Formats: sequence, structure tokens, C-alpha cells
Amino acid sequence: MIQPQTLLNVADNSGARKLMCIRIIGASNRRYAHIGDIIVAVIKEAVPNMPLERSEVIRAVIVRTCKELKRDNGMIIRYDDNAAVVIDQEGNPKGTRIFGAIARELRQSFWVMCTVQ
Amino acid sequence: MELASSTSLMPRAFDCCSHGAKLSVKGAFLGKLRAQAAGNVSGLGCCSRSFPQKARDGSVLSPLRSRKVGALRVSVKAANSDASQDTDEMYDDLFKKYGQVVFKSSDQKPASAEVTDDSESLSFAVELAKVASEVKAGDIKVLFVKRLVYWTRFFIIATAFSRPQIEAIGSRIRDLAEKQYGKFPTGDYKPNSWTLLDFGDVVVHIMLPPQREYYNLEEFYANATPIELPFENQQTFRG
Repeated sequence: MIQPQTLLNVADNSGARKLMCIRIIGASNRRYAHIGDIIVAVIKEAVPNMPLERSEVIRAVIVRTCKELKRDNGMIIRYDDNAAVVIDQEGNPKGTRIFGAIARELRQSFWVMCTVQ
Repeated sequence: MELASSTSLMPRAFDCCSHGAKLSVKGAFLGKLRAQAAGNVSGLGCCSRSFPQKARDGSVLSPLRSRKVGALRVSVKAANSDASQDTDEMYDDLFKKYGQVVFKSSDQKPASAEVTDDSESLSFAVELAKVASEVKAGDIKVLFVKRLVYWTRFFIIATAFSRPQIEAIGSRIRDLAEKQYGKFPTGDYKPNSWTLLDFGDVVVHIMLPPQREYYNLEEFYANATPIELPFENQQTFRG
């Protein structure tokens, strides 16, 4: 359940450390974003000497949420943190590697993420 | 069964300690699980490095065999019938007795079937690589990644030098797979700087040179076994 003002960790090596969601992409008045959704976010904290800097506005894909993810077979998955991966306008990740667990739901629309995990 | 009681059983069975992910199973599913005594572990989609890999190899995830799952089934039923009992302790005993993971892969195949599948995928992958080389894709590599990732067997990594070429390679590969093998890819439908075609056992990556260099998939999958391609030899022979 990611909404504007939610702080997220970054699960890749793009150089950002913390993001704040400022908009959910996909509908005009959508309230929450879940795993696999694209958000617009602002970088609140960044690693020094990396291409991404603080207060930059970027797009990101949500890869982990504390809110449970339900599957059709009854399985429920929840993670310890809210995390996202920074992407560019094309949908390719800005970092080259992704850390931590990633749900299979991303495979449908963000296949590339599974590859660099 | 209440969710609370099921979570007391399941998190330990599914905890992905290394990743901090927690998985739990609803009571309804637990019933199904007990009925089938099996869970498709590869469907977890988490801990892709270690956990589901074992399932694909056909090795049983736990020391528990189906007979013992049956034993667990009885015990769990007993726990259900007497709700006043402390179920956690009962589960602790069961865990001590039978190990922590009660799943076993439902799609276990004999080793010979695995080898046949591998060889089929290999021939398919080599065919796709040939088609890519016909459309002048550069630096084609076929990697056997079955041991490294749970979700596929072969990677084909190819460089295209322009976006129209990416489209050309993608459409040729799609056509061949449809006509000769009856397989349809999922993945990117419009050409991207990193286009990906997923045929299940074979995943094709078509990248522009900057992306190829940037993501450096060969280094990331350095432990994968590279497959020698026939046309590569011909080219070196001619050269």
C-alpha cells in the first residue's frame, strides 16, 4: 500500500537510497500502489558521487511491500520493507543489479528485473 | 482453520531468512496442501537463487517423504479437532521430528526426462541463435543457466546495432518459434533498448551495444556454462 508521501528503500545499485512516492502512475485517482506498479518518486537520500542526486524526480517500480501480496493459490507474501527499483522512461533499470527477494508477479511486466536480480 | 494457527506453522516452513521475506499460507491453502501433500515450490518466486532451485533439480526439499506428510496431516487434523490444545507446541514437536519444510515438489521428473527436456531446449536455443545470426546480430552467446536461476534453462544474449534491427531479430525469432516449435513468447512487445523474449525454458535478450556493456550480463552469469554455437566455428574457420 504505497501512497504519496510513503518512504521506500531502494533495492538496486543506482545510487539512490531512499525514495518518497509523489504520484502513482496508471489512473487519475488511484489511492494505493502495490507490487509491480510504477510510481513517480523523489530521491530523499542518495549515495555520494553517483549519477542520481537528492531531490531528483524519477520513476520507480515497487518490488517489495509490507502489505501482503495475495496469490490465487492462497499464498500470502509480505516483506519486511517497502522497496522500489529506479527505472528510466523506457522501463529499463537505472542500476545494473537488484538486491533482495523479488516476487514472481514482476515477471509479467518487468522481466528484466528478474534477470539482473 | 484460522489464519493465526496456520501462520504459527507456516512461516518457519517458508521463511526466507536471507531476504527478510515472510511467506505465510492461508488455512484454505493449507487444507489443499494437506490434500495434495505437495506445493509447487517454484511458484514461490522468492529466494530465486537457492530455494526453488532445489525443487527444479527434482530433489526433495525436506527430509520429509510423502508418507510422513501423511503423518503430519493426521496430526494437524488432531490439532484442529482440539482447539484448546497449544498447537504451537504440537507443531514444534512435529518440526523436530520431521524437519522444517513440509513441502515437496509436485512436478518431480526422473533424471532422464530432465535430460530430454534440457536437450530439447538446447536445440531450440541453438536454432534461435542461428536465426539471430542470420539477421546479423553481433556477439551471440548461449548460456546454460539452469543451475543459477530457477525460472529458465538457457539465456541467449545478442547485440543488435539499431532499433529496427532489434525489431527484425525479434520478429524472426518469434516467427521461427511459432512455426516450427509452436511456442509463443511473453515479454516485450515493442522493441526496447533491452528487448526480452521469454519462451519459458529459453530467454532471449536483444540489447543495444551501450546496454550490453552497461548491464554486463555475461559477467553476472559468469558461472553459467557457455554453449558452443556451430556458426561461430564456421566464422572463425573462414576468418
